[in-house]
Amino acid sequence: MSFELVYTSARRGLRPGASGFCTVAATDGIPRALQDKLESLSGYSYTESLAGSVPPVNHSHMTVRIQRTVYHVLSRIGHVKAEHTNRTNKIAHHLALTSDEIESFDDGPTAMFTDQSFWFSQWDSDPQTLPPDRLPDSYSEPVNGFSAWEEVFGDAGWAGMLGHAIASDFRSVSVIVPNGDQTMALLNEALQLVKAADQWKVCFSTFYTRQTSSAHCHWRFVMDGTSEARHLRARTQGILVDPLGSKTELPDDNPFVQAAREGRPDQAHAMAAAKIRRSGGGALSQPNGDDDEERPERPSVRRRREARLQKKAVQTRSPFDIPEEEYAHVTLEQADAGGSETKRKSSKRKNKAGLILVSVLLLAVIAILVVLGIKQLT
Amino acid sequence: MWASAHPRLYGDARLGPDVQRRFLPTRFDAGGNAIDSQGSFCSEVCCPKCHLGIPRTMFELRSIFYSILGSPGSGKSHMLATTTWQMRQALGSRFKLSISDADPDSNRQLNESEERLFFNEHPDKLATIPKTETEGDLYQPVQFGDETIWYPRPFVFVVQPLADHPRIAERDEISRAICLYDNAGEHFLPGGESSISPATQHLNISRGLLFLFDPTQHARFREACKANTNDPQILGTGRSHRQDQILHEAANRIRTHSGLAQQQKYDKPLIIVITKLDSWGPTLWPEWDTVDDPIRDARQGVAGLDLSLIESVSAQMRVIMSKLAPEFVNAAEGFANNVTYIPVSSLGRSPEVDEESGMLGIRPNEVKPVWAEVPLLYLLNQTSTGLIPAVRRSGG
Repeated sequence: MSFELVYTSARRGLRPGASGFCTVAATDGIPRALQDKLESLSGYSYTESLAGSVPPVNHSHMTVRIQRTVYHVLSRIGHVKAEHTNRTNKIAHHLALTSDEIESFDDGPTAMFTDQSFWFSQWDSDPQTLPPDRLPDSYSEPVNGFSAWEEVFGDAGWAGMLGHAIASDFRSVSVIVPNGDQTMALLNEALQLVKAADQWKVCFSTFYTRQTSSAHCHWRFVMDGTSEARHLRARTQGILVDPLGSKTELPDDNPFVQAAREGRPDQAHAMAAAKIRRSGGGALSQPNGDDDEERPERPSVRRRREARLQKKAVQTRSPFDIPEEEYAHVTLEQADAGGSETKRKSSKRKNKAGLILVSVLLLAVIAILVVLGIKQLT
Repeated sequence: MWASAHPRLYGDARLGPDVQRRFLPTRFDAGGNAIDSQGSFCSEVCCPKCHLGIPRTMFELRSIFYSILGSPGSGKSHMLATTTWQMRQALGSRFKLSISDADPDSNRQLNESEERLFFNEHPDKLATIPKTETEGDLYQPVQFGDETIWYPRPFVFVVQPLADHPRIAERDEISRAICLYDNAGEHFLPGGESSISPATQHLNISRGLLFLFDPTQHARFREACKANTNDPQILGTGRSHRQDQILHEAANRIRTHSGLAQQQKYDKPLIIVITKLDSWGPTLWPEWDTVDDPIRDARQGVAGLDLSLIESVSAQMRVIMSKLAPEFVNAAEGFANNVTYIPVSSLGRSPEVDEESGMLGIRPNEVKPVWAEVPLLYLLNQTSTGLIPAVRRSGG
């Protein structure tokens, strides 16, 4: 079941006694833990928003886990006119969907924002409970190659860095943009470089600030002129796409960069696979002067890395790769029963191994004694 | 626990992928600083539980915590900005004390507010301090498994004697790291604190409370003043809050967390700061703009705080409060033994409504704070020995 929550500053909130910044609307029956989490994702830095001519709207997709359920949270957070005490205000509208529900939205998370009539951009009414299963119409905006990247940064190839980051084990990438006008277009175009099956796994924020985000975010669009942009330029974590302030150059041989430049996003993964085959299984070249991959890799190092990757693939998965149905129908008793069964088997195995070890030691001692006895006799 | 310094060592289990990794060091340099796994010398010390950084001065100096509380829109952020600005002016020249930011990153938002009011490039244009949010810049998310807890971030200042201070020899004894917490007013409303946002737990460790009572949010104050003012905060509607309930809620939280029984009274100072003096003063306390400066310069070169004047003004304020807000006086004096009422005008004049945005703003060149620094100086005088001396008139 999907849940919605609207958070803004109002005279009266949904909870009795609430006023100022509070929840003014929520789906009937929303779990308290989810409500707390969505409220905590409602940050909007007004000071940072002043860096642009128009305060940007933050469209984001985050993945959160509440107890055993994984929710995909789509949020629209924006600045609104002064509130009832004539002070700055914002409005955050969140929609939380379970993994089952997103399967019916094939066009990916950005398509959910195209139905603007669904998303609240201001709140003038009394607090209210929203009906369950109220969902936006999902339809993709027509995307014209990588024209927005070309227009904003002068080179469509920069979009390739975002696709490359996702293909490289979902690495985080920050993009410093001149303003918030075209971030949705940039986002839609870059998503062409992500496999359809992976699009719901990409977490993004079109107006990212560290202070307002507690969830992991893969694609972070940061406004130029903000303290966040200054922080990133001073100390980059992950990949930084900063054509406006950076002297780094795009790696021309990167297949995602090539695909974006040639306007053939569907070819990106095929080109990347071909490149990996040609280079004997090595990874794609890294941006931002990370020259680890430029050095020829010794075969022993490669074997160790491959073994590590195989082991990792078996043992760990990204939290949102685990379908919630793995949890959903497991009751606590079943989970406990399953756990104790495993514990019993493990304990039996340990006992058996111990017995074998003791027997071997005993045999060894007897053998030594026999040898010593024979020596004494002779 | 320390924060690594090498650029490759990013990502922490509690604080996420964007911060330097925290670690328990096994190697140290000659100066006692930890060395991380890549051989870099580290300087930042962190909490072993939440992994958040702790300014070094907190270990080197005695720390003193104060909490500022009040209803939404009572003027906490404005008062904090003008208080720190006035303190920066007065402490050096009159008290021979230096005041500095212990951690400029933590104090960033406060410094921005000070800049808007006192260093604005357009002093004749309306400036606004944004409404304090219940999440965001003033809070730091910490991940405990699947749970994210938002801890409030304090403003930390270091106050220590200058070279010409008469007690410079006792520098270590009298220097203090002062921690101030500025919460959104929403956190003090009943039910405003949740398990994932323990935003007001600092109340328990505070050495003193500054409760901001806003007369423009009180119906009887507004009624008494509306004939004699054009302040939009008094003439507007829908701004009322039951401020006595907020004090009761804060008192309950302090009692719960510190184990104080209902019949026991809070024994630390409770300062009731009656804000927006410029809007209610002309009607209810006409001498407001001629009141003396409570900071008295002394012959020894170090100023002192005129406690007699502050206590006399407090008595006058209590009379006004008892007449118009008796329920609040009852709540304050029922909770604490030591209650002082101090009037303050953070801006010195009423704000204006910006026609374009509908927001309240103030022209920076018209900001003239009245007694903005007095509540904090008084609290320092009452709770930290020797930092802010007291002066009593001979007849007092």
